[in-house]
Amino acid sequence: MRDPISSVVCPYCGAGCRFGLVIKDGRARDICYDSDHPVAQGALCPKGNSALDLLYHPDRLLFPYRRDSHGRRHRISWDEALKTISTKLLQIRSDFGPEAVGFLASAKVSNEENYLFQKLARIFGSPNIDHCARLCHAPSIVALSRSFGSGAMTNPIKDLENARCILIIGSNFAENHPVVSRWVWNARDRGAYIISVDPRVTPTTKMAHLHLMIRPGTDGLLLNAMMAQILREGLENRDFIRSRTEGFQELEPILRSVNIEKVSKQIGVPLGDIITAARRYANSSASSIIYCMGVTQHRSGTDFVASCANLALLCGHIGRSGAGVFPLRGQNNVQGASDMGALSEFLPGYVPVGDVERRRSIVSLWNQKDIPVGGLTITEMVDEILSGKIRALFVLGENPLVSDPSGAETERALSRLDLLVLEDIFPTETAELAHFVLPAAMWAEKSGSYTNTERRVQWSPKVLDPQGESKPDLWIIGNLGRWLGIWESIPTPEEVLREINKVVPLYGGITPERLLGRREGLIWPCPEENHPGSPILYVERFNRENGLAKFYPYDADRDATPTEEDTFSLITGRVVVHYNSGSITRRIEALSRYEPKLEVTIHPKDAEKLGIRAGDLVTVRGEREAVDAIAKISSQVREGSLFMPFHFPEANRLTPRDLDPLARIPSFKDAKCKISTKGT
Amino acid sequence: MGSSLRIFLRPERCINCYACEVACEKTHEGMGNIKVQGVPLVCLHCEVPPCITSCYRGALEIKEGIVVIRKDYCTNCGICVLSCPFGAIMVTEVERDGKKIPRIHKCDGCWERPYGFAVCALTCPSGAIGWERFEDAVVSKREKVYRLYLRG
Repeated sequence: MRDPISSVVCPYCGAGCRFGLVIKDGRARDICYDSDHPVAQGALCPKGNSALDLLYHPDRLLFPYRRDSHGRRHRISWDEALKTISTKLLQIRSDFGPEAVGFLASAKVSNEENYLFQKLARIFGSPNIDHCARLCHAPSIVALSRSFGSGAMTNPIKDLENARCILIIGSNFAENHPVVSRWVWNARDRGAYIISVDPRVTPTTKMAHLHLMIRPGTDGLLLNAMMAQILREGLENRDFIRSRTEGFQELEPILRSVNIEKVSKQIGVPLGDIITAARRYANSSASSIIYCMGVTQHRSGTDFVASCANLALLCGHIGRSGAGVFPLRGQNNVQGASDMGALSEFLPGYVPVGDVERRRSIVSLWNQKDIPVGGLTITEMVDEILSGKIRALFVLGENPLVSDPSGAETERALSRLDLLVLEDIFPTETAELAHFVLPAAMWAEKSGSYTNTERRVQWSPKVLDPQGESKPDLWIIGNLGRWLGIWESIPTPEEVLREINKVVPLYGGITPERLLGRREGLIWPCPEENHPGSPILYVERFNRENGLAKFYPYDADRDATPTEEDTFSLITGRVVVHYNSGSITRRIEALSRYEPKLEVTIHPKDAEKLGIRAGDLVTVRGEREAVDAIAKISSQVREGSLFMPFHFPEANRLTPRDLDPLARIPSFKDAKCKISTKGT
Repeated sequence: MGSSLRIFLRPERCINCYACEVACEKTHEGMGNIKVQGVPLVCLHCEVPPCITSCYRGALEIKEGIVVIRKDYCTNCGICVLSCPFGAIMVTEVERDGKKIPRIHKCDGCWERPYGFAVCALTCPSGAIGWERFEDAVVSKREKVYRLYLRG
């Protein structure tokens, strides 16, 4: 029944599930469940189950088109589209310099496509290449790289079942990576103790023995308090700290000075719960930390991630089965897109662009002497469009208008551009502003490799023909490169992967031949042809130069800010039936019927105070803009905070543009709002 | 499908994700036979099913361990719906000859379908719906109790 040829990687989250497509007469008719898959064991969440509705959706973009100044669409041929776009790009380059063009890569396209795209951008001469990892796990890449030497998940998802204690902080994986919950439940059934830290009640917190419902944004305070308690009771792993880490002497005095009683009041959680969490985490034989956007999307995102790493190092819970740090990535290839260097500060393989020697050795493989450095991130590009420095933006399968913070600002910026090119599968909100829209083939209509959150690289073959005139992204990027005079021929995915094998040592042994033969893929680092892959990192040494991990001190107390009486903390997040900017899932009836409209959740006491009733249309006012939503009254949020899913265009109209200074992630989770019944 | 394999619920694991509903509907032409209401509710294919006992037309029968409706006997009266202790028999309004009429349907264990087992169990991300032999299920329950005892 299982046909290996039709087995594809799921196009949604970063868990990397696979499923089979039953194909008859050139059309996918049904989905098969792949019970042998190492992550999913055949399971699929509702989004995966509705994959056929996605493939055959009537809204799909099928032809390239141009929008004129009145907003009318004109269907054009591929040749005309690519010719005009490249002419305009070259014109802008000669008028304003190459850095006047920004490139946004995509966490939804394959490694090969991301690699080729960043190569195109950099050879074109623009340092401004970035993608939406900036909006989710940029702090993880920065903080975990400097603490451990590598910015990815340390253990495979399946290994969670071997943990004896799991600390979930700022992650709602039951909705965002549903299959992860089967491994956490397995751990729990085997006797593991589950601690959840979340300012909301979610399906994930229901799994936990202990739920610390902290005030939004106080994660750093809590982590430091837990570490302080561990030190106070002498539960730290002195052997591990001595033999495998450095820099503890700088963190120790900060932790010794933490006043746990005070922290308990600041974060709004009973002292006893903090102590229990600290003891359980430290005392178990193997503890794991799962964290996600709740930790990263803050002004101090990098510091919060560093605190997670500090906690793991303090107790030596890393580098063993069941003990690790799990930053769950949100899109099916966001790990891969980061690995491929689709980030302004990294070349493929996380080579910092500032590292002259390694940079030159990479670009010499591209027959270049050097490439420009100092690129801008997504949000910075928006600022520079407004200041007039960036004149053109090439967007590969992203919907910045909905997914970026402060939507009004983004809209103003995108409508100012001389040239906005969008490559996508659906006419998204961003397409309404684009000058050229290019139809891309979907994931099952092209071949390529995808890297899931646990660093597992899997091959997803082409099993269907692209619909209409839509084309694989590799074809589009390759052709654009030809028109721009960057290269002469369009490579196949296999050829690009072979180049990646040479350029990125982590992928050295992940050759097309090996990948095509194994459905379960390979886990990087896999430097050589006969290397089996490395499911668990840092078993013997960390990836830093001296092999030691490093503690990065963070004084959380410094950042604690009291909130004003009448403002609410707005938490934005995801719900299970929707995916990111909602451009896909809001179109699929089977999913959107569960959450058809934007709702804002408010605590019953706050609602009563403000005279808001369930189902009322309310206005939520942010710093810059106000939006309307339907009130949902529930004690799933704390008093003083609100929750809104960002799958709808309104939510990110309210989020602030302030950046974390190191990772430059916008502080999506720090929005402050006021709320009232509409019309009052 | 082995006849002694049974749909096995671990309701505490349910994460309310609706994967089973979406999968079941896609498999049964839009007429889903499972509902999530905090926990997944689906026919457990009882050995002495109240639905069969209550049906005056004998429109329900057990086929290889699966309780199925014999469509040509069913009058859509709804007695089985009331008799089921799990709320696992569904009523959906369908259009026939321009009129809306209620239609009774329930889990058929995906027994005619080529998946190997019921799609709800195959697709459940958290493992709240699974399939096991009764004998194995009790052993794993005992093991779980023992592990909890060890943890103290």
